[in-house]
Amino acid sequence: MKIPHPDPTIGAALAQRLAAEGRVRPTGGLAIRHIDAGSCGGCELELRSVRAWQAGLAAYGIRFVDDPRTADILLVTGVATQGMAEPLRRTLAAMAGAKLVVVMGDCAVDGGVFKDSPAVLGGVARLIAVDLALTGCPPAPEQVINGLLAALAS
Amino acid sequence: MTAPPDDLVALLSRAAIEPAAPEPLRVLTPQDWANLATMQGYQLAALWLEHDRVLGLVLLDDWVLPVATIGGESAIALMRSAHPALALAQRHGDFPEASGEGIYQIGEGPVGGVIAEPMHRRLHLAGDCVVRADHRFGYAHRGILALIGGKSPRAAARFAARIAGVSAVAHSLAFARAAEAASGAVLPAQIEPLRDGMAAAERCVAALLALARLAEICAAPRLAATLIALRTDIANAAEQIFYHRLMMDMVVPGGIDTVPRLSALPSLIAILQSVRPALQRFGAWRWRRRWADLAAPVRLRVWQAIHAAEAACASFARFGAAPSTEPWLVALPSISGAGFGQAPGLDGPVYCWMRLEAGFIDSCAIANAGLAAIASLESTAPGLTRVAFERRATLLMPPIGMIDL
Ligand code: SF4
Repeated sequence: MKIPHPDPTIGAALAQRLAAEGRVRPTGGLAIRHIDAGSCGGCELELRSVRAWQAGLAAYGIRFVDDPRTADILLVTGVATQGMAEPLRRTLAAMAGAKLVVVMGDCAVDGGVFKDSPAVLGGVARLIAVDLALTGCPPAPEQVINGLLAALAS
Repeated sequence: MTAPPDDLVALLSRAAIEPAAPEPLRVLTPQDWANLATMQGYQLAALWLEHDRVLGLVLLDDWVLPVATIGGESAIALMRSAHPALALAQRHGDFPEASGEGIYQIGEGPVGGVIAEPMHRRLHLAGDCVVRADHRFGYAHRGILALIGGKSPRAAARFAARIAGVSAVAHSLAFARAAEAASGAVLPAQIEPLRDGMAAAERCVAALLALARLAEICAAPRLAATLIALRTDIANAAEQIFYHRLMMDMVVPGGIDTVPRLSALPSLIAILQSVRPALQRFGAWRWRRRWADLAAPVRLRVWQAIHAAEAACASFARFGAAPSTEPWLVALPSISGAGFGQAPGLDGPVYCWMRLEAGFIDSCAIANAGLAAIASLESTAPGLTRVAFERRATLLMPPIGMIDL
């Protein structure tokens, strides 16, 4: 996989925002808890490719974890359905770390093609504050890695 | 054979015994259907007997709920999950209790447990042995059938493509074929071989990913990385030709949405041709000891990947031989009518039935026979260790998007 350099402006903007809100930025790597909030599974396919880039992720201290209590980043895919509102809130509440929220895919960003359905909330930001949005349906693996590196650089 | 009723809501053609099916599917007997039809609130809408199989649709209120080749409790659970009111009602509780000395329960869901998917799994265990496994869905209901209703087939195709990313082409193809059948559209000869090739390439990817998932949990990271790299190569080649890594939005009612970049087709064919040697070289066989309890499904997934790759190459060869001066997309006549479409998915066909009113979708039902894997997973769980069950679930669980439309 070709990983271009992350866009420094994304990291800088994120850092500025975290500082303005008085929030702690993640240190010593990133532990990511992924949650599917009503995805078609397409974003997860690309996430699999990201996770397969294990050596590269490990070099940056990025790892995926199962337990939200040990996670710094909540990575959300999917439209944020009505049914997933409570699990999403609870997962975020369970996180003890820096609590960055990264949304992946057009569905999670603003509901994507499903945004007019009453069964969906129309994007994760309607429910919880989002720090970084990775657009695309689905975003390419390189784009996701760049986003994560930018979050790390924040 | 019983003739379908005149006011046929849907005709689900043949049973889902594709070569790709992981297990013989549980099929409802006529008596099961009769019982189902008398359940309060449910109404049997259509019934079709083919050979010894019974398939059909059930109406609940105004909702058409496809129930094909799924048996017993799972059928009910899936029907409920397709209906928003019931999906909410079933979210808590509703799990049957298994009782007995030493039996305890573990719940796994999107917040607790290792699964990140929008579903709830309840395991009853005695020691480390699974006594009972149940799944409940409904968390990920997106209202897809409601979004499809009232739109033209062309405008609604993007929703069908996003039912499940891993079978975007299969769902799009069944949807397109139903719309084409309902409107009486006639496609140029070159379209079908190309669409078949895309669907087969997608099945190959799905089988590779299922194997990769298993390799990950069996602590075989190199094998997983090899399989994912193969999938990534296919996705990259598909993007070159079809402008999308998952080939979404290319298969639409009436043909192919955008003129594909055919100069890149040989590179996709070359990658697909490398699937057989790649799986033979690294394949499941060398890792057999690690997944001895799953030998049959693993062999099946390996076979599926190889078979689908070869089917894709054969379809692309047929496509190359078809006349190429015809249009890629034809307009659907704006008429009223009903039609049925079917396309092969990894674990059985995807079915779609559609009724058009003056060119707009009045009613539509989509069912994926791959959902039968859930019934199979639950019925084969008792007696397995928890680890063995979770491996099996990893290999066989269909994407939640297919369930929670
Ligand atoms: S953004 Fe696209 S690929 Fe991702 S979940 Fe939504 S529809 Fe699927």
